[in-house]
Amino acid sequence: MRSEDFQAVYRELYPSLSRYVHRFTGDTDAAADIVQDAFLRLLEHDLPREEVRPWIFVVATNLARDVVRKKERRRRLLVANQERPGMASSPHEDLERAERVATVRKALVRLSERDRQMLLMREEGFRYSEIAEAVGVRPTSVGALVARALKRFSAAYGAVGESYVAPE
Amino acid sequence: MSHPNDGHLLAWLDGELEPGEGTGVRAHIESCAECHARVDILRGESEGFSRAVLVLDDQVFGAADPGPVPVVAALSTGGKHRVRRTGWSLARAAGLVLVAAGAAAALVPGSPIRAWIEGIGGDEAPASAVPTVPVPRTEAAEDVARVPAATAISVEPLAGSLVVSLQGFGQSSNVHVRLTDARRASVRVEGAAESPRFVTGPGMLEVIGSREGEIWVELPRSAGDAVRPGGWRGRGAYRERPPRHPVAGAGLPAWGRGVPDRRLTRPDGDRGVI
Repeated sequence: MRSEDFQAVYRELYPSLSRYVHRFTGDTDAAADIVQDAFLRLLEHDLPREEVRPWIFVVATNLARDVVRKKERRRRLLVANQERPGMASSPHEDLERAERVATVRKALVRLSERDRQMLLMREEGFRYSEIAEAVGVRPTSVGALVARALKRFSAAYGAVGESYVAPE
Repeated sequence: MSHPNDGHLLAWLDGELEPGEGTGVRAHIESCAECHARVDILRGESEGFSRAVLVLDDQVFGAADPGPVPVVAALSTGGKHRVRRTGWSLARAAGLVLVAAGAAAALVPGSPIRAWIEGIGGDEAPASAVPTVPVPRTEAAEDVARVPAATAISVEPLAGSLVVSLQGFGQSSNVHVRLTDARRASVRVEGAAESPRFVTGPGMLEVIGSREGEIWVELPRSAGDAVRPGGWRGRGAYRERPPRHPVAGAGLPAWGRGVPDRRLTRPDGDRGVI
C-alpha cells in the first residue's frame, strides 16, 4: 500500500476501528496495540481500497480474540475501566460511570464472540454481506443472528443489573 | 404474506432487504399489529444496544482524533535506503521498520538521559491471530501497563521486519534508529529527565519520567538476537524477501525519526532485557 493511501486509510478508519476493538476487548491498552498491529499488517498487503475496511476489521477481530481469551485479560475485562484521567468531573460521577461501564461490559462478555462481533460490526455500519463474510455465515442468516444477539444482549444487560428500557 | 421472522424484520429495519422484498415486509408490518409490535421491540433492542455501548467510548484512546499518521520508515529494505547487512539473520529479518505514531502531544517537554535495553530476545510472545501473517505479541504486566505519561519503546519482529515502536515522546523529540554491529540493542534518551526510571519486558522498554529529547535506538545488524530460541514466537513471521513497506518521511535510510506508539511491561530497574 502506498504511503499516501495508507495515511488516508489510517485517518478514515482509525476512529471506527479503535472504537470497535475497544468495545470488543474492553481493554483500552490492548485495543491500542491491536489497532496498531492491524494497521501494520495492512502495510504488508496490497488490497483494493474497498476491501481494506472489512479486511482490517477482521484482522483486528482476530487479534482481539487472542487478547480476550487470555485469562488475565478476561479478568480485566470485567473489572476494567476504573477511572481514567479527565473522564468525569466528580468522584460520584466517576463511580456512576464506572458502574455503567462495568454493566455493559458484563453484558457483552456474556455474549459469544460471534454475537459480539456481529453486533459491534453492525454498530459500525457494516453491511450484512460484510458481516457474513467476517464471521463465516450466509448473508441471509445475518438478520436472524443479529436479532438473536440483540435479545441476548438485552437479557444479559438486564440480568447484570442495568434496567433495560423497553420501547414504548 | 406470512409473518416475517425477526431476522427479516431486522433486515428490513437495517435496509438490508431487496427493494421488492422490503416493500412486501413493509406492507405486512403496516397491516399486522403483531409484527408492528415486534418491529418496535427490535428497534428498541437495537437502539438500546447502541446506547449501551456508547458509554464505553469515552475511554477509547484518541477515538475522535486519530492523531498523527504513523511515520513508517523502511530501513535496510533495499534500494537507496539499503543498509549493508552482515550475517544471515538480517537477510531473514529483511528489514527494520520504525513506526512512530503518537499520543505524543500530551507529553511533557524536558530533560536528560539514558535508558538501556540489553539483548533482544525475551521469553515469550503471544500467539498470532492470523496464521498467515503471524504477529508476535508481548505479554503485558498489568500492574504497570497503565502507568500514565510514560514513554515506551518496543522492538518486535513483524511480518519480515523489526518494528520499533515508541510511545509518549513529545512531538519535538527526535527518534533515531539505526543498525549497528553491537550484539545488543540499546536505547538511550538524551535531553532531559529527572531520574527517569525504566520498566522493561519482552520486547519493550518504558521510560517513565523521561521528557522530550533525543532518543537513540540502536539495533544489532544481527537480528538473530531477536529470534533466538526462547525468544519471539513470531519468528515465523520473517520472510526471505524484503518487505514492501513504503518509506514515509524524508531522509531515513539508516535513521528514523518520528513520534511513537506503544507501551510496556514489567519493572526491572533501569536496565532490562527486551
